[in-house]
Amino acid sequence: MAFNTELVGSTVEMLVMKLLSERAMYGYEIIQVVNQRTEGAFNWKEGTLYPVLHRLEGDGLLASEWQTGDTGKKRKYYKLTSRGLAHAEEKASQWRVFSRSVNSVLCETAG
Amino acid sequence: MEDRNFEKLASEAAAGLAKDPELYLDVKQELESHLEETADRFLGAGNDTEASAELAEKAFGSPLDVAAELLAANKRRMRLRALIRLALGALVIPVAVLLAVYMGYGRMARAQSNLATMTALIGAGEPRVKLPEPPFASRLFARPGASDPVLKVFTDGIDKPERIRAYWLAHQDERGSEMFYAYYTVTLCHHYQNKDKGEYPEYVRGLRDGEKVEPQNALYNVLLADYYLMRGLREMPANVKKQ
Repeated sequence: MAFNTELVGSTVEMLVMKLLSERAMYGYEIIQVVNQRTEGAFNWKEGTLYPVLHRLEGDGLLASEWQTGDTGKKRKYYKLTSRGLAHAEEKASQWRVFSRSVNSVLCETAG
Repeated sequence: MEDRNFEKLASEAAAGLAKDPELYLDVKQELESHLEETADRFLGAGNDTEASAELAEKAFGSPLDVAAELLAANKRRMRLRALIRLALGALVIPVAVLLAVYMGYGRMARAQSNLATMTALIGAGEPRVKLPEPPFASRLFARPGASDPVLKVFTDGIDKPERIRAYWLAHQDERGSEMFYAYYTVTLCHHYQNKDKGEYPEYVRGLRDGEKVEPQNALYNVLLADYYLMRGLREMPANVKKQ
């Protein structure tokens, strides 16, 4: 299913921050984890993910660091800053209330 | 896996950030690394190297679309970094000039102080080398001896020869440490001049030891001769003095 661009755009930031609250990850890894967990429903591209990562980093919510992996490849790992962690929790909390509200309308049976 | 086309793609996608070369290179490297990871995944799925590279490029999509998104996302950060660079550039040069003036004047002031002491001691009058009056900013910052332990010993040392001797003892194995010993005897000499010019065994002992520390330095012999001459004159009976 192809999702509406605005709908996807509004959730990318929150999902990225949720994943990075679990551990530090590099861009390609984030895309893989999202694809796995959504069973391919979200097919994020580079143009979707990297601008969000850079914007969050510019806002001081993420910090990045180049690291060399076991294979000798250099990867840029992102992690949440303390401000980012608080922001991620707030966003997740907002989303839970929002989605519950939307679902309560969508799932209500007439009668 | 490496592909020259990956570099081209990454360059095109990061092109909007070229005004900030450091950020541009960082993002370009990040995108190249991403393309390599993608190609490796296709290679692991059984594709050959060439096909894997092509699939990775296809998955990347249009670099122009990525470039527009990246530029929009980094615009604020680029402005901020440009401002910081500008501010640093405006500060670095004046600070470097002030620091150079401060350090240079500190050294000159110390050299002049030593020269003046030595020339006064051997009676050569005022030093021939006259330093120009430093600018106001230099006088403001020039506080030789405020924090430097060596300068502190020198500036405070006139009244405390034992501190200079202790400094020499701690550094006597180092090259050039004889200078500190010489300065120690100079401060003793100041004390001797300010006393009633009676007996001063510590001064004599210091000069005798100085001959061992630096046998080729005539300073100790001159000062010792002066000391005995003055002592002899003082103890000379009045009738002999008249003659």
